[in-house]
Amino acid sequence: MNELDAAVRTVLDEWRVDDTEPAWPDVLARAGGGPRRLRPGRAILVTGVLALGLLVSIPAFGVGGRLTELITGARRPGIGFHTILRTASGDAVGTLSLRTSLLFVVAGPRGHRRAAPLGRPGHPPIPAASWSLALEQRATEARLERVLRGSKQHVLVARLCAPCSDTTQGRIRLRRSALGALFSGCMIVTVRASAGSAHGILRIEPPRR
Amino acid sequence: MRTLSRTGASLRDIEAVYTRRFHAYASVAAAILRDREGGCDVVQEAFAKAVRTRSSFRSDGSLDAWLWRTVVNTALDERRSRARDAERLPSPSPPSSNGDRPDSGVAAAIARLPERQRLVLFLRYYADLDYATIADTLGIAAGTVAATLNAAHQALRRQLEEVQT
Repeated sequence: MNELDAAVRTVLDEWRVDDTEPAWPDVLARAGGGPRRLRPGRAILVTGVLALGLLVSIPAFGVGGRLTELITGARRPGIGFHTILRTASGDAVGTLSLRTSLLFVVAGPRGHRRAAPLGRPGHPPIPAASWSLALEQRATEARLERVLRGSKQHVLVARLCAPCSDTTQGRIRLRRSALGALFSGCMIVTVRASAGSAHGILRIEPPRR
Repeated sequence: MRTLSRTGASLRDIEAVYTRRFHAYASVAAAILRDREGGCDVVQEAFAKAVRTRSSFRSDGSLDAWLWRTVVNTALDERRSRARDAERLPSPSPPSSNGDRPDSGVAAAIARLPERQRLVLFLRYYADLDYATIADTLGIAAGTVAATLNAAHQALRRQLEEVQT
């Protein structure tokens, strides 16, 4: 160490602080409330999430049940179709319910919203539909058929089950032509059993209120 | 050099650095302000600021350098604030001469150094920081630190020779 260094050190030692103890609590106090303090935005978010959790989880509010019903119940999004299967003599032998998985809604040409189950032109979706068949007795086959326009010819859309128990469920994919038949009342359900056959026309189920 | 591998600095990390190096921080701040009590106050304020803004700490940098930068900038802000206040106040009586003290020439020479040279001198002397951390703290290239320190020594030597002649 030369003379200059020694002189510099002597001067700088004047400002050296070595007799004051660090005070971390004072730092936290100046920072505004310590380590566990939440910032206002985060506090509002946490409060909101907690309130929403309580609202959904406490049965007395009834919100959770309604949400569950909306997702899984009869009022879930989608369009429901239903038919009663009757024999030629008019006897009811069962029912078939079908519900599309999605309701496609797009803006119409003048800004009006309309249901567009066929999707946008050029991008036709192939929505899935869940179905449920309830029969008084077992059947050998149940099938969806669409009626060709201008004729009485039936075209097979899907074979639902063969053989069929008294309660059967499943999912099918509906192509554009099948959806068109479904919405225009041209979708027939045919059930065949050893005793004969039964038919029903799938129609839109009015929404429950 | 302490480097964290995540975004933001934890309160515990900041507290550990504060406790371990408080005196070095306070000495540098006191030297910048030429006020020991003010230096301690600046360190408290600087760390309070670091606690509030710890989420903005970039994990790819050094926590030491980030905290040093916060302390140095807070001290410089405080010095500028004091200078502005002094301009608004009536002129104080001229400081008493202490020319009979053997280091008075050195103190004046240090005070006349360009700010960057003075800061490098303080960080090197009080905190014994390596060149990379000093560079990171002051936002200069690592190669510049050695040159700046050398220039500070040369300037001090030159000024002292002028005083002696």
